[in-house]
Amino acid sequence: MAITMTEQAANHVKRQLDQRGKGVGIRVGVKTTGCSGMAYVLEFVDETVSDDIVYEYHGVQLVVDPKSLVYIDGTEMDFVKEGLNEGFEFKNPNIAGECGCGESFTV
Amino acid sequence: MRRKLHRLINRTIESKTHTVKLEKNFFKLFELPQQFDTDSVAMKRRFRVLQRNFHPDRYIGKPPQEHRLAVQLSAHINTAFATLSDPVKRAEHLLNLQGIEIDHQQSTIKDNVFLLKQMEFRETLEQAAFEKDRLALSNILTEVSDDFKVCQIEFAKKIVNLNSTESQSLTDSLCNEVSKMYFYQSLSNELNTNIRLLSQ
Amino acid sequence: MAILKISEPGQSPLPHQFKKVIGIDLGTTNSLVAAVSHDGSGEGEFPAVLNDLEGRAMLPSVVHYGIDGADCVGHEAMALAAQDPFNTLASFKRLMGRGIDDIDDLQQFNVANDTVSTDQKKSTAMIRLATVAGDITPLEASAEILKSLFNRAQARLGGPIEGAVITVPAYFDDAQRQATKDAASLAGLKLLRLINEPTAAAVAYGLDKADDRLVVIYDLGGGTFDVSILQLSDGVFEVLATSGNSSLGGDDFDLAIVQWALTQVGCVADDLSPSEYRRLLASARAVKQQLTESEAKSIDFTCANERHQLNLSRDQFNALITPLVNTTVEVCRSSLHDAGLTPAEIADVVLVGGSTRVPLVQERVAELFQQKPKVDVDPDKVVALGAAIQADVLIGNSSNADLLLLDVTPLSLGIETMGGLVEKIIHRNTSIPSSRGQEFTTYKDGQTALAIHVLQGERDLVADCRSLARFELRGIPPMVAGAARIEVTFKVDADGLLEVSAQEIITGITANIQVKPSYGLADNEIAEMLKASYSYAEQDRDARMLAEQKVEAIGLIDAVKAALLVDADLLDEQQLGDIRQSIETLLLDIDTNNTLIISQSVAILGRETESFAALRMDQSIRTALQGKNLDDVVE
Repeated sequence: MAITMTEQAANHVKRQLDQRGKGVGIRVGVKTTGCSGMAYVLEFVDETVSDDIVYEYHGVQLVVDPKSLVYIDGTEMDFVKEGLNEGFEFKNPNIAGECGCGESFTV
Repeated sequence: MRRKLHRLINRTIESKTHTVKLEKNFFKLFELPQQFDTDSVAMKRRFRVLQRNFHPDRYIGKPPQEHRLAVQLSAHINTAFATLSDPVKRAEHLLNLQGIEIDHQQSTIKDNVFLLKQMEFRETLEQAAFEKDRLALSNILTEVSDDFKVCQIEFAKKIVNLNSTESQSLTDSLCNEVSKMYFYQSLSNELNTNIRLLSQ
Repeated sequence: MAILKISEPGQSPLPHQFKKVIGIDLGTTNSLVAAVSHDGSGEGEFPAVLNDLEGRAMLPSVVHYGIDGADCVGHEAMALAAQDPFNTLASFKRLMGRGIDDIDDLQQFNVANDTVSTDQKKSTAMIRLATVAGDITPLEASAEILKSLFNRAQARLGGPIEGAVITVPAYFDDAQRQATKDAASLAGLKLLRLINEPTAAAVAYGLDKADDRLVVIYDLGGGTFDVSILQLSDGVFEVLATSGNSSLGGDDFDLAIVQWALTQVGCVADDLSPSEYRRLLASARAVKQQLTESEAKSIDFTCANERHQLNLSRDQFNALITPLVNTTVEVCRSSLHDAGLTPAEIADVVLVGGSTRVPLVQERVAELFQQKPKVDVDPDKVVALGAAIQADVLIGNSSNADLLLLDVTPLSLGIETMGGLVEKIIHRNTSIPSSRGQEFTTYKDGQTALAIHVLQGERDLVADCRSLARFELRGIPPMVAGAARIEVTFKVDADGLLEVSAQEIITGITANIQVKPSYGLADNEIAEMLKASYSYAEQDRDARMLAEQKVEAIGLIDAVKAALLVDADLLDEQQLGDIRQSIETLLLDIDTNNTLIISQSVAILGRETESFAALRMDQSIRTALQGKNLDDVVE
């Protein structure tokens, strides 16, 4: 299993990295917090750490730490637009429950 | 059932209300020197800082007890600001801080010249209001405002000596000035109302 | 699931930093709901009006009642107005917190017989309107509008709404504000704050970012007129003076056209059937709107089935409404005078309310203030947008945390004294919250009770003021006249709502009331309405109550924990242990899923943190007095 990313998502990541002017890719992970357990982390990566697992899709590096991988393995990252709001959406097959707004989840 | 219970609980809490110590000296609360002349800009700035910190709107999402105390505090800050902003209330507060209370129902002004002048002012006011003479009203207002200012300067000068001389005559004369200020203030208000009615 | 943005390394936002809150403009003619959306970075804040599924922003403040109760609201209800006028309620905001004697033009309302009864008690009750679903209070009809907007917001924002700011005219008195607050609780909304419409408008214009300046908000809505003078500096909005007329608005322009049309053809309102009257009123409104662009317009209507067509020019229309517009200009003048200001000192004039589109209104306002008034933000939406921004600030979402609204009482509050006179205790335009006590005494030897009559208004005679409540302080020990010392304390909270208490100082006997009875509804009436409004089964109701109780419990725990994190050192070990223990107990009790047990535990924790709260506040005050950086005190 792995974490995957759609081409559209990759294109948007690339564009944002270009705008930012530095960075080697994006980090996807989880942290424990929020109203129902865990929340996603989505950050730029300036340098990878030794434990990191690195994937590459459509020319973009996607970095995950092994601890997080357990919770989000099989997740597909996509780019979506909802009215004025646009950004990335995670399709995570491990989710058992999500809080009302979807910002945090339990597995 | 839930509503009833809530009411019961509210009552218990009410019965052992904890209150915070409110600073009774408004000059201290506003970090101003305890004197009649005030820096209104500094006062206003301090008022905003205090409200920014204690207005109940800043306590939404905090424990409800703190929110309730904030309502009390914020009200106290408002009272302090209103007192310091008004020359007559400010003068009276200065006297109160020295343990001098003015009993407005009892106090009489013994200055006959002052009283005669007041009666004259009132008569002119009534006459001018009756004749709808706006100019006359404005003239009285200017005169009253000047006298009011003189009275304030007198008070400011005299109160400086209150600590050093424990004289009853000084206390009496300060109370007298405050009573005069009341006269001038209510007369100015009346004149303003009359002028406004005429300009409509 | 939520849409995420890419953050800088290590700076992923915590979920739920942004709570969903809304701002509601509960208008006489139309109502709106707005919310601020965040782009996740915490920097982008976009206030926007939330449209319905058909893309319409405004919800007409109209409710239609069927046999089983309210069956539709808004546009749908308005469509039924002509065919079913008696069961279609509109303009009911004018009746909020009002008695039958307060309203001059009751003809447009189908008032329930019950309220018109000559019975003394009934005549001071809130007006009720007769429908097939029974007699309806304006408060209930308002709750239907709020519910509809609430549902719209929930659907659009996709999640539970944590609170709402509702706007009221600045001129609303205590009874009207209380009625609005009650309507919110009837609709199941958590009210964060009632704010004045003009203040909301100034917030929407972002005038808080400007330097020290004076702003006039001229707000002519469908049914109310308000003018407020605000001083803005460093993000603090201070209302210096507020005035207005709670029964003057654009609807009166419509009525003026109706009157004119009827006079032209020699009819009176009684000649028209209710549906004819409504149709004429609707045409009048349309003509008024068209005269903003055109110079003349024709109006068609029927009177007792006879057709008429009249032509109305803009000049004629201006002549019809001149007395009304002049009234508003006079209110502006006297409001300026109250604040000790001249028109030249005003930096900006903001226009609010659809009726300010009328050219004559804009002309007269420009004339008075010698400047072109601001109209950039849609005058229909500006209030809702401002309310949304304020809701966002209050809940702590906004980066604009400096914004603080300091308000004043719109009307003087006092009590009746000897000879039918009113002694004012809190004067109008006093900053709120406010608390003021005044001592009174007995006037007869051996008097053991004191009747306290609370009034609101500017006049000296009781008969000329609005009665808010009556209550009695009993058990005063018999003394000679003038010996008892009774302190009556008035407390006005940040929403402008009054609470009165009385205490005999020598004996300590107290009486305490939340001002409510006259023209309002008693607590039990609201409880009844709440109960009746649950259309679902008892089980569902219990589930909802449990859920609400849990939310309250978790909210309290979070707040107390946050306070402990900062100030645990203020407590001794015993106190700290007790509070920690109560938190643990409450956490366990939450899992029992027993509403009663949880609420008892919440009460215990609440009591235990009483003195902690006082200690924390005391510390803040000490810091404030030592002149430390106050911005650090309250985080």
